[in-house]
Parts: sequence; structure tokens; C-alpha cells
Amino acid sequence: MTPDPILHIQSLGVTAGPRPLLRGVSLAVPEGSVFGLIGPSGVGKSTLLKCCNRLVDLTPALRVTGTLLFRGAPVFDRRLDVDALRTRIGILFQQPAVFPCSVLANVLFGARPLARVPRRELPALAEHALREAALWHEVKDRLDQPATRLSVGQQQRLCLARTLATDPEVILMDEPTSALDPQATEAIEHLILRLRGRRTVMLVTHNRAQARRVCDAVARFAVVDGAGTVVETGPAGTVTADAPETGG
Amino acid sequence: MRRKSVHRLFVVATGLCAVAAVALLVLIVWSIASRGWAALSWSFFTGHMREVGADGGIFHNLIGTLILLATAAATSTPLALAIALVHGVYLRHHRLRRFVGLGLTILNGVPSILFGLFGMIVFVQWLGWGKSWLTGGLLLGLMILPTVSVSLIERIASLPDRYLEAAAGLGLPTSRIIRSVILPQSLGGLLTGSLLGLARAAGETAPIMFTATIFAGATIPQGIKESPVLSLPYHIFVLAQDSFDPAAGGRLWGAALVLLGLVLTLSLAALPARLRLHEEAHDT
Amino acid sequence: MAMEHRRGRVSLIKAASWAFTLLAAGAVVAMVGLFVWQSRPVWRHAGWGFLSGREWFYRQEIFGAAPMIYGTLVVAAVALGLAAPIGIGAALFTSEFLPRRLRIPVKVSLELLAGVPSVVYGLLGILLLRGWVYDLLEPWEPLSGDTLLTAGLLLAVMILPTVMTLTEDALRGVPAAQRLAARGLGLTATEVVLRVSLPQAAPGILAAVLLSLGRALGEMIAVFLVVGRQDNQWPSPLLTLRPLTEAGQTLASKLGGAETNIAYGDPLHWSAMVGLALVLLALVTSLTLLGARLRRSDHAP
Repeated sequence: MTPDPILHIQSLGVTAGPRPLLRGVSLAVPEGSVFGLIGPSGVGKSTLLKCCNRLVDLTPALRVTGTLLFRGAPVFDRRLDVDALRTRIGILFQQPAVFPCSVLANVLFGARPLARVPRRELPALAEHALREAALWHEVKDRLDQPATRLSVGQQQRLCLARTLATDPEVILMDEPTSALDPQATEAIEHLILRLRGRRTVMLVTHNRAQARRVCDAVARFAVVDGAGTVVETGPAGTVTADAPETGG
Repeated sequence: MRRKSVHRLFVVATGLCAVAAVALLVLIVWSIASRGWAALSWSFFTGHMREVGADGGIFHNLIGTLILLATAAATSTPLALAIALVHGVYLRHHRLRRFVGLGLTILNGVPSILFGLFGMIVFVQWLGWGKSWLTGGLLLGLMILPTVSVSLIERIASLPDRYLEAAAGLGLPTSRIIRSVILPQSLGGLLTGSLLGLARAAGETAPIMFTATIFAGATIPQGIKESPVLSLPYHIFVLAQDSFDPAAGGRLWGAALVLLGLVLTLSLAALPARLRLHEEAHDT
Repeated sequence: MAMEHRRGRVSLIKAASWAFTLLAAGAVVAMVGLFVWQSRPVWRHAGWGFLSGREWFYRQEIFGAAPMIYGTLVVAAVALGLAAPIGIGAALFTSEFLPRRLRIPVKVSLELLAGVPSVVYGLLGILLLRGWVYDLLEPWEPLSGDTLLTAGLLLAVMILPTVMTLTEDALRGVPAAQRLAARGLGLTATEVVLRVSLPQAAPGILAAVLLSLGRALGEMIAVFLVVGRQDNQWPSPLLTLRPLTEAGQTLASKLGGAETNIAYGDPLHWSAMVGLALVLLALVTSLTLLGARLRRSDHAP
């Protein structure tokens, strides 16, 4: 491999008390790619995502072993500024979690405390993020309205815009379309394809067709000896073609 | 880095508040225990009061408080069961249910001295009972009614619908469903609520001082009219006002320690169920 | 026959439930009704002057409740001014920052603290707090340690668990998914509290404060023992801190005194006492209703 991977996971393991969730996971995620994680539910894919930006810290009793390098630096380093890490590695959840405030306030929720840009440039930043999330035309006339009034599909794109406003290098997506209807799903998939190249995306999905449509490379997870692990890695087409049917 | 310092400052400030709250409990228990410990002995529990509390034991105060608590439990249990059943089973209308809940909330807020005044008018004067253990028990029972009812209502509301549907599917009439499904499953709620309520009732002075309890000269009541009891909280209340004949002091602290022990034991017994409820709520 | 039997049971449980429920409701209605009805003479005698009058001399048939309403409000304000910030802070710490394993002991202490009887607080107030306050107020030459301040401080400790528990309830209403989403955006734990949890829990926390205030207004025993029970204390000028260093009287402490027993023989005097009870009930119930309303609107969405 020519360039160093942006995320390099080496024999990562996660245990919840005595119960192993993940064991011996090794992955190299190239910068600018869309990297898919597929496999049955309960195999630890979401947990792996949460390791990448250390949201696992917030779940008590989870223990992580092994190494996870982000641009060559260990993520599980005691001295690391975790909050800064999370602005560089954003996350999108299965269910859009919008805050009960205006659309504009939602977009700037993560960016405002960062104080990277002066106050008066915040509206421009919001517009940029909303355009990048292909939501601008739908909400530009109701930026002051409560975000909870948007449709679920719009809310999910709002969450994406919110993450984009903090200018992350990696975006983790945990089954971002499983709560959406086909049209909204298509919109999100289209967005992922647009992000490719500029940002790295790690996408957990149940939908193998979706993986084929948007991912460059895919890692397939399965339970081996009671813990989830990677059983196969490769280009999207080849891995998913051979894989057994895995729920959805 | 400014954000980090704000965070640290905030954690320290709120942490100090939490430490203060816990420290207060320790201070209170320690203040009472360290002074009252010396007074505790077998004869303190079994002996009769002598020399205006300066000597002797608190046997009849303890008995009086237990009589009041038993009466309060006997009063609140049927009322709370009835309210919980009306709320959970018979009232189908959402608005009316909320009305019941609101009534309980209001009753829960009523200052305890007002129960005393109410009892004084109705039982002491109108019914001519004078001071009577029964009045005290009835008032305390009414006072803790919201606590017991709400605990029962929550428990019944948390019963899985499928139990009730399954029972109804078997063609059981409502009364059978109540007796064989709802009541057995909600007894825990009744117990938790009653323990909590009794913990509160045990320490109350205001509702009983004009209606049920006197400082000295009462033993086990024989009837209803003119049958007051001694009680721990009123004993402490009266002696505290005549503060501090050093001779009475030790016994006074002893009585306070016994009361505190009684109340905290009742609260602790109700605790496991309450914590479970809270932690479950935290997970969702 | 079996059918008949069964039907009989149905109506028995149902009838008993309704009967007992109506009995309980009747008792509550009777209490309010009695206070209204029995206080009529004093309203006829003094009119609104009962609320605004600054003097209470029952032998001269002068009944003014203003000093007691004032005392009640001052004591409750002191209590709330201390208990609200500390209680809310402590609740934020335990529910937002403290790991679950440590949260349990704090919760247990809190439940226990809430259970300590008011007469025990009163006893500690007499033994410890009264002396401390006397020393503290030394420069202002207080007559004794029995002051409105003492009562307020004691009440602050008493309502602290109420503030904390109800605030925690309100914070629990904030969805965990929102906290996680905010942390995922890189907000610090404190920023999550200030920007996510607090704004959303605000109505519930306000309700917590109001309900605690209601409790502070109605507390009798502990206040009775340390407030000095001095009638007719009216501040001049109205807004001054001076009364904090002096004895006073609250609605509840007046009702708890020997005057309640004396008054029963005299219809006017008695109605004045019941009038105080009615004022107290009205104050507390309006706070309870307001609090309940806020809590409901909080849980609605």
C-alpha cells in the first residue's frame, strides 16, 4: 500500500465485563475511501465505530485492548484530547438525534463551541455545511424553525450537516439509512458518493446492495468463538458476492 | 484549552455541591449518634419515662409510635389500593386519570400541620374524641396516601399489557384479573410505598401534636375517646423546647437516635426497589 | 349459580374501590371546605385587612397576617437561595458526571437525608445551628440565635434532597441519544450539560424548585423550634436584611403554637387561626399546581 491508512486498526479487542464483543480486529482504512462494515447484527460493528472516536468511553464497563491509530497516532492514548478527536472523526447514528432548537442552531451545535471561525461567519459556515449535505434548498427559508419539524430523512441530512460543519476528516456512519424510506436512503447514498475522495467514510450497513453501490472496500464481520471479528476484507464487489446472506 | 478549564471548573463546582449534600447526612447522623449512643441500653427501650424524661426509658413512646404507624398503614392500604385500581383499571378516560394524579400531587404537598388542624376540628372537637391514637393514625394514613398510591399506580402501570390481555383473552372477568394478576404483581409496590410513607409518618409531629399524642402519662390505649399515646417525635419536640437540662440531654439524644434509626431503617428497606426503578429509567 | 357468584364479586371489588376513592377525595375536599367555611368570621371581621394587617392582638380582636406571611416568605427565600444552587449543582454532578457505581451511594445518602424527621432537624437546629448563627451575627448584636436566618438555613438543609431528587428526575427526561450525539460532535461533558441537558430539563428543574419552595413554606416543627416565634415583626424599610437577624413568626409556626389550643373557644379567634391555615394552603397548593404543570409540559414531547 502506497499511502499510510488514515485509520489503522491492529488486533483490537473489546470486552464487556467477562463477555468478549470483538476480538483480533485488524483493518486499514485508506484516506478518502468509503469503507463498509457488513455482517449480522450483534457482531460488534457499531462498537468498532464507537472505538474510532472513543465514544466507547461513555459506555461503562467496556474494555478495549490492541491499537487503533489515527494518522499514525494512537487513539487510546491517555493524554489525547478526546473532544478534539471527536471533531476530527464525526459520527452519524441510525436514528437522527436532532436537538430541540432551530435548524440553524442544530447545524452549528458542534461548530459554535469550537470557535474556529468568528461569530459573523457562522451563518456562512452553516450554509456551506447545509449545501454539502444537500439540504440547503429545502431549509434555507426556515432556518429559524424547530429542527424537529423536519422529516426523518431531512433530520438525518441535518445531522450530517452538523458533523460536516466541524470539518471532520473521517465520518463514521452507523446504519444511517435503516430508519429511512427508499427516497431518503437514495439521497444519503448519493451524499456518501459525493463525500468520497474529500473525506473518509466508515459505513456500517446491513444492506449488501448498498455496500456494493457506495463502498470502495468492505470488511465482513462474523462471530468466531463467541466474539465478533473480521473474516474477510476486499473490494466491495468481491467480498459481498461470496458472502452468505446476512439478514437485513 | 479554555474549554477544558471550563469543564474542570464546572466538575469541581458541582462536585463540591454533591460532597456537601453527602457530608450533611454524615454530619447529621454523627451529631445524633455520638450524643445518643451512651443512652442506649436494654432498659432504655423497656423502661418507663421518669422525671420528665431525665430518667427512665422510652418504652411507651416507642409503643405509641408503633400504634400510630400500624393505624396509618391500616388506613392508607385500602384507600391506596382502591385509588390505584380506580386509576389503573376502572378509569378508562385519560383526562380523569390525570385528575386523580393531580389530586394526589396536591395532597402530597399539603403541609403536615394542616392535617393536624383538620383532625382537631373533625375528630377532637366535632366527634368529641379528645386526643386519640385513632385520630393520629387516620391523619398520618391520609398524609402518606399519595406516597403509597403513587408507588402502587406506577407498579400497576409497569405490568406488561400482555398479562392483562392474556387474562382477558381467557375470558376472565375484571375482578378475577385484579385478584389473580394485578394484585399479586403489585404487592411489591404497595410494600415499597408503605415503607416510604411510614418512614415519613414515623417522624411527623405536626399532625399528631394537637390530636393524638401527649408528653407524659399515657400507656397502651384502651378505647378510642380520650385515649392519647406517647410518641417519639412529640417527646423530642417537647424536651427540645425546654432545652437543655444536661440530665435530660443524654436521654433526649438517645430518643432522637432511636427515631432516626427507625426512620432510616424504613427508608433503607424501601430502597432496593426504588433504586432499581431509577436505574431502569436511566437506561432507557 | 357460578355466574351469579362471579357477578357479585365484580361489583364488590369495583364498588369498594370507588367507595374508598371517593372517601379519600371527600376527605381532601372536606379539609379545604372546612378551612374556607371556618375562616369566614375573620374575613367578615377584617376583610382583606386580614392579609395586609401588620398587627395581631387577639385579645383586642386585631388580626393581621402580614408579618407571618412576610416571615414565611423570607425564611423560604433564604432556604431556596441556598438549596436551589447547591441541590441543582449536586444533581448535575451525580447524574451527568458521576460513574454509575458511585452514583448509587450518593443516591442512597440522598434518600436517607430526605427521610430525616423534621423534629431531628429542629433538635440539631437548637443545639448546633442556633449557636453558630449567634456567633455569625455577633456584629449586629442579635438578641438570640433564634432568627429568621436560622430557620432559613435549617430549611435549606431540609429541602436540599427534594431539590436534588426532582432535578435528577428532570435530567433523566433528557434522551441519552442527544447526549451521545453532542459528545460525538466533540462537545465537552460540561458543554453537553449547559447546551443540551440544562435547556431541555429547565421546566422540570423550575418545577423542582417550586415544589421545594412549597415544602419550605409549610414546614412547621423545625422552623418552630428556631424561629423565635415573635409576633408582629414588620420590617421598616420593607426591603432590608435586618429582620434576618431577628426573631419572627411564620404561618406554620404560628399554627403550631399553643395559641391554636387557646383559640378554639372563641369563634373569631379560631377563624383567624383557620384563616392562616387557608392562606398557607392556598400558597402551597398554587405552587404545587404550577410545579405539576411544568413537570407535565416537560414530559409531553
